[in-house]
Amino acid sequence: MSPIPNFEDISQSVFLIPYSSLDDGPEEENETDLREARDVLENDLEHGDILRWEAYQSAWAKCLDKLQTIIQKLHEPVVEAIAEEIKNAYTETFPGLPYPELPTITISNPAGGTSFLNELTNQLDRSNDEADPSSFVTHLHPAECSNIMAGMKMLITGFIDRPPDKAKTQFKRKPATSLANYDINLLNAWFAAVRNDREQRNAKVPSLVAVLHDFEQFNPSVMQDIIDICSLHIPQLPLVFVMALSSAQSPSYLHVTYPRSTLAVLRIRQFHVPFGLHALEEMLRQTFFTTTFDPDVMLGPAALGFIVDYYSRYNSSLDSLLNMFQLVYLKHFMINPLSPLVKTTPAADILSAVASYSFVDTLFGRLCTTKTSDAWREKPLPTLIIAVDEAREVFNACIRKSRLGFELMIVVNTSLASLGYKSVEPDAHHSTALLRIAIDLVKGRATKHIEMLSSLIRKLKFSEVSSFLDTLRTYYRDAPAHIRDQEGKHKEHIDHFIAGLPQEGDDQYSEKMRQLAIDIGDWLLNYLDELVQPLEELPLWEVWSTGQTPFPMELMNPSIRASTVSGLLRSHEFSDSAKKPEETNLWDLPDTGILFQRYLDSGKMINVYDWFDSFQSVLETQRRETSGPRKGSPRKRGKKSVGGGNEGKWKLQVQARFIRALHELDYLGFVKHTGRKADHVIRTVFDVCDT
Amino acid sequence: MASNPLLYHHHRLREVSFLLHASPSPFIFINDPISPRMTTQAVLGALSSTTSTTISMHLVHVNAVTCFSARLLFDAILNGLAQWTPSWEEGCTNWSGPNDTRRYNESLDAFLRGLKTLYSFLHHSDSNLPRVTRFVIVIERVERLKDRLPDLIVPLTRLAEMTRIDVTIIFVSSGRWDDMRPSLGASPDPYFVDISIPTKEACVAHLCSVFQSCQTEPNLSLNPYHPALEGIHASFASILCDACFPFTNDPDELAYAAAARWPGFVQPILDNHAMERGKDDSNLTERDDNEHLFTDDAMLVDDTHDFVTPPEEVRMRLNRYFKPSITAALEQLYPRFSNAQDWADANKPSPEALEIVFPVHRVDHLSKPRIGVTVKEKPAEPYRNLTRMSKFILISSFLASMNPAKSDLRMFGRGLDEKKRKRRRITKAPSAKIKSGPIKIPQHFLGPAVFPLDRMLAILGALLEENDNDDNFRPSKIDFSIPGEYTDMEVSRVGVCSTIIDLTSSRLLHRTSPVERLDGPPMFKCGVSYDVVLGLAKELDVPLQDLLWDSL
Repeated sequence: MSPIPNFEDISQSVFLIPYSSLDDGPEEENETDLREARDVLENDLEHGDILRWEAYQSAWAKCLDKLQTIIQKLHEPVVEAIAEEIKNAYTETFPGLPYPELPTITISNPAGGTSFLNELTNQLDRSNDEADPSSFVTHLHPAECSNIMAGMKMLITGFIDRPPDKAKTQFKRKPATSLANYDINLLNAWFAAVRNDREQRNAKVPSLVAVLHDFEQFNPSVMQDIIDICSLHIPQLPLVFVMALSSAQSPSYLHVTYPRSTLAVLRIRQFHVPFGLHALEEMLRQTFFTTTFDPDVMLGPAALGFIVDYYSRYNSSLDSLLNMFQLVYLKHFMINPLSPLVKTTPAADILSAVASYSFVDTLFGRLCTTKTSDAWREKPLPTLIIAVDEAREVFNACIRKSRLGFELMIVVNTSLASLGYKSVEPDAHHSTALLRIAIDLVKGRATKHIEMLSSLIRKLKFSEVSSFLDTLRTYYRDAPAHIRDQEGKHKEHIDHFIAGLPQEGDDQYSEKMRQLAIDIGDWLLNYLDELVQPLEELPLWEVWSTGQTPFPMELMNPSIRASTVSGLLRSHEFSDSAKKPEETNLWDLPDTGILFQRYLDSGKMINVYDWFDSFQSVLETQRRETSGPRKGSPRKRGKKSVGGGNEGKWKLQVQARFIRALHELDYLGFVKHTGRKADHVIRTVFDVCDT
Repeated sequence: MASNPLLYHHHRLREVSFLLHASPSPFIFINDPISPRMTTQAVLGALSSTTSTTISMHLVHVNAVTCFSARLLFDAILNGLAQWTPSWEEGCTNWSGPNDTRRYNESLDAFLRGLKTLYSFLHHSDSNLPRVTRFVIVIERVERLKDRLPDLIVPLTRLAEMTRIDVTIIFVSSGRWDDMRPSLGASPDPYFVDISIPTKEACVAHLCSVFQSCQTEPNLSLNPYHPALEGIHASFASILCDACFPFTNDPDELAYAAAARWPGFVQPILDNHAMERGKDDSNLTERDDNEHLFTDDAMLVDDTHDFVTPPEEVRMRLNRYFKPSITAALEQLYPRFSNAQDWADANKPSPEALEIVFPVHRVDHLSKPRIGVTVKEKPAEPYRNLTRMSKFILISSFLASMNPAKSDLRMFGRGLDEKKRKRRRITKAPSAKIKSGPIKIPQHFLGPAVFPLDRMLAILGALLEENDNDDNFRPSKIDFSIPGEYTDMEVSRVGVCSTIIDLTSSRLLHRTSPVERLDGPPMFKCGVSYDVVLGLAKELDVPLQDLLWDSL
């Protein structure tokens, strides 16, 4: 059992209560563990859930690995710059300052997540020599620094836990008669020992780096004092503060929150981690829209549209982006019985199992329509396997072409944009050209962009034609080998165009040039049209693309009020999936649900006594029903000893249950107390669409 | 970097120093509203520099910010007076008396006992001379004691009475004694020393002393802090003080601005000198090469013997060229939007500064003289990176803060016919009749008003319904049939709530009700200015002016 989290801690926004099977009674077995719950779909294979789970794991692992590599690449330059800055924090001195300034590095990382700081810590560790680290790093978290004493203690003990020298001897301190462990002089004494040791060995004196996580959550008055104290002891103590901010505004959070007197002792250098639409673009472009990587499952228009919208609208954090990709994958493999076919086709013995009959039947239905040859009648299963493999090949070839087309469109688009043309009109959502084209591509509506690009090229100025052709040629030259081989004929086209560039002195220069531009435009139009094919016409396309499956938005961003109300109205749907809504009676609901139903029936003000009466009558029914033959159907109620006829005790129980349910509604904010009328409360929620 | 004591302090501090050597008052309060840090330095300097044959003075300086608990204060005072440095090897023990290992930091009584023990120990250790042992305890930023250790103020001020030893306590503060005086006259009145506001002359002198303290060896090659440039620096200091005095007279701030501007200011002179030397040696006239020569620290050739201070007209040209940049520097540096080093790097004078200051070097190409400062490029729209929902939330919180709550229905309400109601209030011509009662001050003069979360969400809903109705991205929107139902769902989503929390933590919204309170809606206040909101509204196509009750 895990320790119970401290719910009183207001600095925590989320508590994790890990699932433990001991917590639940035997009747509650509805956790959606994919392996345990035997999540069987219609038309599923035998052991389809396990196959789908395995296929999901391999597909997602591949995609996640790629995404993490991209994130790391995005972060790398910033991490290196910061490490360099920390190294030089005390070596560059600027003469003439009235007092030394405390070097402070602010990292604004609105994309959030701890990955950046982990990379930074790794980088600092990496650059450190085993024996003589060039910096000692300690980490401070807001929860540990609730007051100045705790904060100073964390800062100091974070450093002095290490032995100061080679001898690796820790001297025993007597806590009463020596310096307090929150006294900066203790750090001074420790660092004097470090310095002595290093100087004896002619090694570099290390700097002391304090990484402040979630800096916005620190109490400013505490931090202000810690900064003041530390600033009084530099440069004897070469402290460097690294502040991880999640806000990106400038002037920074520090300038908005801290007084000038604190800012005056800091030397702030700001660093920005790449984030926002640019990061999203990079991640999409390098995973789902590139010729160099083949994800197992392609995002469909619905999922891609939602991800772009959610990212730009609500939460531009990389962690949530990864979560969304993962959810798309999970959902794809959860609801699509054909999804085990993503990478491999199951062997004939699995397909021939009795339980797989409907699965195979569906596949026949999908594939047989086009080919009704003898092979299908004679050897249905092997032919089926071949057909599935064929469909996979076709889909992959087609999507690779589409991706090549996309890359070309982006190349053309950027080169036109650099010439000052706007080929993609900005829309209200300010999403970039790349995202616009990407969404239209997966929707199968890329034609309008292709036509637009082609018409712009036809009208290019003469001087721009040659540089445009150069860009195209560079693209082909830098493309991976298989693309160059495959598209050699088009490369020749470009070379042909370049060779055909008329000389400036030519008599028919302008006519030739115009004709050339038109030729290029036409070639591009045909070429891109050929490359970009709608995927949804391919056989079995929905195995490799999530298509129009809507994104499970309620998992990422539920509406609080709607979920609360639906939880109260239809609590059984959350617990017993087997039960149909029409089977449930009012008395079947939990107490709070019963009370809430009655609440909905009342007027603007509720007389609490009437409310209690109606609640009591429902409970009477419940008592009658549960004491009868239908034992144990409403959970928990069955446990209560209702027999015995002890009416006084029953009354008390009803009252207690009423009060408890009332308080729960009160706590959820459904009632408002008012002194205007005795025994009355006011409703706060009206017009609940209860259907 | 211990800077020299300011000249303007001099006679006041000499007074203190004399007093401490003659017949000290047990409690002295020094008030310096401008620069207490510097005054403390000066007091310490004055006290430690005067030696006396009859008095052996033991001085300790503690900072009330550092000593945030009684134990730290006691440790700091006792260790400081005993000149005891705790060492790591000995387990960081405190000074613990001549022979025993007693603990003096657990309570005030123990501390007083420790003080007495220390006094007698020090007194006897140099008792071969008939000298008076005197303790002086200087406590800086003493205003912090009031909220940190209020119980200790009285005992500290009465230290001499309580211990019956020769001890003087000096409080240095930017605040007044009246603001921290314990009630009921529990503390004796101090001997007051008020430090006056520094004059311009004093600041110029201070800047010159900073220059002297940074000076490099005279035999190094010419650099910004070479002694030969002292004369130019003096005139620089004077124009800097002239330019900055209307804004600040804190010597530290002036020194900070000077440190940032001086290397750029003196650059044309260095360049000129380098060029003239270059001409003599070889015909190197390329400035870049010379620059390279100068930055090369290895060059220790004595090249300054021929340096002559430039004539008056050159100085005047230099001053005229750089004067506007000094105020620009202060504007950036005083609120610390940039730090001195980065500012100096970003504002190196352009090559044409040399031509303007020394017309001899003018190459004939027509160029308009520019100011010697490149204005730091404005940070690209700082709020552009917020998510779309945060922008809408900021706009609606601004509207909720600026509009009176009663006007909401008129501003955002919609009739059944889907047409807007008449929004704007009719601004009446100021009537001649003077109404009774207080004059209504427009909200934008009063600052943002507090609003409950629900009201802001309602306004957010209205804004989203009007301005964010693009169906392209909403596959799920089809599920909703009642007009406005989608938006209604939208404003109560988790994403909106977490965005509000994020904005609050980055101080773009201020939460005015305590986090622990569950009763009633949380209250907020807008934390961004009109200009920011106007920019956001333009980006999102929200007609902000029409939605404001008192349009600006």
